[in-house]
Amino acid sequence: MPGGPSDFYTTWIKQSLRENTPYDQWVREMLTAQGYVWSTPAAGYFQRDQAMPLDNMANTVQVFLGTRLECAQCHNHPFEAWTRHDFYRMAAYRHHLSTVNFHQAQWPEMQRLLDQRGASKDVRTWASRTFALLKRRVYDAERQLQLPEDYADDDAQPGQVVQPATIFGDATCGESVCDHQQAFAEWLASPHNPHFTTVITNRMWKKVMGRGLIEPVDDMNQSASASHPELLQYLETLMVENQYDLRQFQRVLYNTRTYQRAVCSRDLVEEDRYYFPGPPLKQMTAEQLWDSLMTLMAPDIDLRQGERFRALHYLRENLCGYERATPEELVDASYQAAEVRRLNNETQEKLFALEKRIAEAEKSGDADIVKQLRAEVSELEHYSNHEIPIRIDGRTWLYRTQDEYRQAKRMSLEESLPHVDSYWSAPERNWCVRAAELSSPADSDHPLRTFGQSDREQIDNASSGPTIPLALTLMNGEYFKMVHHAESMLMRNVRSARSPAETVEVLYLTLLSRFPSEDEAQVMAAAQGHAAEPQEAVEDAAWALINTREFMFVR
Amino acid sequence: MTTNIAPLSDLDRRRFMTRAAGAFLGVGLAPYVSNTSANPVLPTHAATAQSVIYLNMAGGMSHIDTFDTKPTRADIQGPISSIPSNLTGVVVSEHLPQMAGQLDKVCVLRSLNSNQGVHYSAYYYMHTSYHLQGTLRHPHFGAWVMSLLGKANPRLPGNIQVLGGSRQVNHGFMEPRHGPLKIDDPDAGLPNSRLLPGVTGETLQRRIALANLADRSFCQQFQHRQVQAFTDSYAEAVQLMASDDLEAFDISKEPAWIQERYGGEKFGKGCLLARRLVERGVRFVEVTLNGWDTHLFNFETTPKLSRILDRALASLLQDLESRGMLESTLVVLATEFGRTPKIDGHAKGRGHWPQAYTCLLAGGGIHGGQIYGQTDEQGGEVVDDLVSVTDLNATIAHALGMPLGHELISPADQPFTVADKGQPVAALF
Repeated sequence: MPGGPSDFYTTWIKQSLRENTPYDQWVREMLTAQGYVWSTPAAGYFQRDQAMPLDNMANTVQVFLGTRLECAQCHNHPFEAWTRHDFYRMAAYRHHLSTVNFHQAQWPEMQRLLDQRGASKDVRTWASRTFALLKRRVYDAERQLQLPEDYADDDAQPGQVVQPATIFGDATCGESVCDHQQAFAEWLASPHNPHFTTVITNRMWKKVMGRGLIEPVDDMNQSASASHPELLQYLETLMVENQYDLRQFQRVLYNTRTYQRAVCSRDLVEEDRYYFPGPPLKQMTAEQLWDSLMTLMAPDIDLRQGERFRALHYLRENLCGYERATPEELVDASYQAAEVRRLNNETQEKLFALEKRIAEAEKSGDADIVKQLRAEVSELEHYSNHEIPIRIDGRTWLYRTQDEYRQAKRMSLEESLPHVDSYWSAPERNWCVRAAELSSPADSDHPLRTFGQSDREQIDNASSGPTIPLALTLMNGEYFKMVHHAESMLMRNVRSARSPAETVEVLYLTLLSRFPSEDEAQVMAAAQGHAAEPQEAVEDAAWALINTREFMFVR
Repeated sequence: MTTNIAPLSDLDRRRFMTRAAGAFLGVGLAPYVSNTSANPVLPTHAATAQSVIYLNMAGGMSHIDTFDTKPTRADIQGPISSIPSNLTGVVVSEHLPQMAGQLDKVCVLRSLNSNQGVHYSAYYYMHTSYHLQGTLRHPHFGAWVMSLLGKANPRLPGNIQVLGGSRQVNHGFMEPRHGPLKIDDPDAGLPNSRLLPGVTGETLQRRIALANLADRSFCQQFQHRQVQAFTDSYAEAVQLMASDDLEAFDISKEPAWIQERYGGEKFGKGCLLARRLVERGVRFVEVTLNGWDTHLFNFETTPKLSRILDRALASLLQDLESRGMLESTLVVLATEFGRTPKIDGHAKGRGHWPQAYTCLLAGGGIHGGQIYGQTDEQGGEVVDDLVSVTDLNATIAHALGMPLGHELISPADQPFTVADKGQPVAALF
């Protein structure tokens, strides 16, 4: 969710998975949510496609119904029965919803107050920034969808108001139903919807078995048929009988002999049909690869919470207060922010001036003055950071008092830190968490992205396959220093070994989940035994095992 | 996780290469070291360009607010005014002052037309010449260049994407090695291309031998394309680590005044990096400038981005020209679609508009100082010399001397060509 507090949404998704909320219920919550994302986190689903309700509809239909409608957004679908009119009829169900509220209650009064107080341009800029966050709300804008001006088909006129209708299945909602958002959610996430159950069943099957019964999973056009229709039929019944309990459904799949067979050694990529010769060989996803490396480091990996999620509770309280702020309070805050910025700029100028003087003093070799000036610099730096409004996701969020917030955040960090391991709980090792505990997508220069993590611009946008940067990262990446650090999980395991042969065994079990073959054991143990530096020999072996194809693929 | 990373010393590098080149992670380096363009396709015509720098304006650059302004229509134009250029009678946005003085080097194509109005589909079409479909991934244009022409410098990757994010078309049905190598930070150069401190070429060689041993049974059991592709990319990565050409990725090697000229923005730095790479024989470099999806606040965002683009592109053209590289380097400024003439008053922005938009071509055999094609007075429809997406790609391919009719066959036995049915626009050369 670009520019927004996506952490609330992410946290809600994780919570739904953890609590095993039935899938249909979960989807309905996303499709019916209204409000601010910090109080109704499911609203994040619609917020993602800010100001693009048509795209959101195309995405919704693709993700949950495996149907690609985006062509019909601009013209009749070339291969399918959908017309452009069909697309607009679907979109009409949710078109009254908006993600940007320009008419939030406080704004007119804020403007009046700013005029009244003769606010400067700076203050006005800060007022609009202060207010920006409050515009980001999913709400009923009471809009009607009209056909676009370039609409050229005979079945309707350009500009005509579109009445909602579903593209397939029984529309549970007649035109008399006033709550279209609710009606659409009921229609979509229903066992009676012809695609809803098929799509989630097929997705879960693919997740477990490596290949969908219908491929691709999000483009089941009308002519698509399952490779094993009876199986799919059976699984769908199972899904409905279990009331969309995904955990129970997976339990069944993982207990099948089909799943438990050895991976097929043939290259199935070349084969059109799949007759279950064994699960296909899978490359680790970016997240799996990252997590595999992290589990080599922190012994308490499953207790480690991402930094950005730790203070969320306090953030939510703060934002709820913000939501209720009066126009006077918001204007006051804007004045404060403008003043803070002015002070910061002043400090910055002073710092530049001091640096210049330091440089001159250094040139003339006046050590005392340099020392004195440096002290001034560090004092300035110390104080200047105290007053800066906190920025999150590129927007400025104000806190009633900075100190209060900082203290709250500190408390929350201390509260939720697992006291399992003193070395790994140090703040400078906060990055060592599972991928799910980081922002998604990670920053573009984060190793996860090099490993092919999706940028989340599009559905299923992760890339797989090797790249030079991926190979370079695994060979020369900084991560490796932490893998062979004395406090790493790997090295703790290694220390428990009593002989070179055992060391090799520990390394193989930790990194490849298997025992070494006789050949391997012999060569590796010899390398361990003969090394002048035992640590170096362990590092060599660990590096070697991580940089195998065997490490990279899931069998 | 940052510390200083030691480069391979020259001695280390030579030693390392001679020892390691024999058998590397299960494969010989031979096919990469000798000549990656082992089977280049014979060109059907002479190339006018050796390399392409493709500047991708991601999100959909508003043609009306940049290179196809409509000063006579205040209702369409909004608050952005036009300034004269160094071509008589041609105006551009006031936020492109440097480019206004460079139009004699450039051909402005004002008549692009696409049928894709959704971001990824439109971006995909621009980069592959084919429509996005569920069952097959088409190769990136740069992968076509790699496949049909091969590398000009065998030691460097031939297809590089700077600042593209992960939202990219890749090698498609071609071999993964033809896909773009991604650089996310032009300042950082090629991350992890140097050995970690304390690791020598010798250490690495010892480790690789152990890795080969451990991997032997797995690689024998799974002789899969995807497994082999990993082995290949390791070999290429190692080759790159050992190469002197690695310096091409380091823009800090440029004199300060040149760095200054391109501007402090990542995009400007990306353009400078592109020039360094092209100078070393890299065939295809794409640099992305994000943020053009101006549904909201078009009149704040577009000027800001225009300024960044203006400085970087004008500097790139001047720099290439002064080095005598502009003749052999085709610079393309492209975007997935334009934006609606109608201003959305509610959101103060413009929507997606594939019907008519603008791209630029410069250098590489293109006649500068041309305006090609025309839109109507609202900028809504092409009225003259329509250029389709595939025509644009055919034009770029033609400049590179690529055979437009050469078919490559996907795994599902479908034939594809570099620009589908597109035809090069002859008038531009």
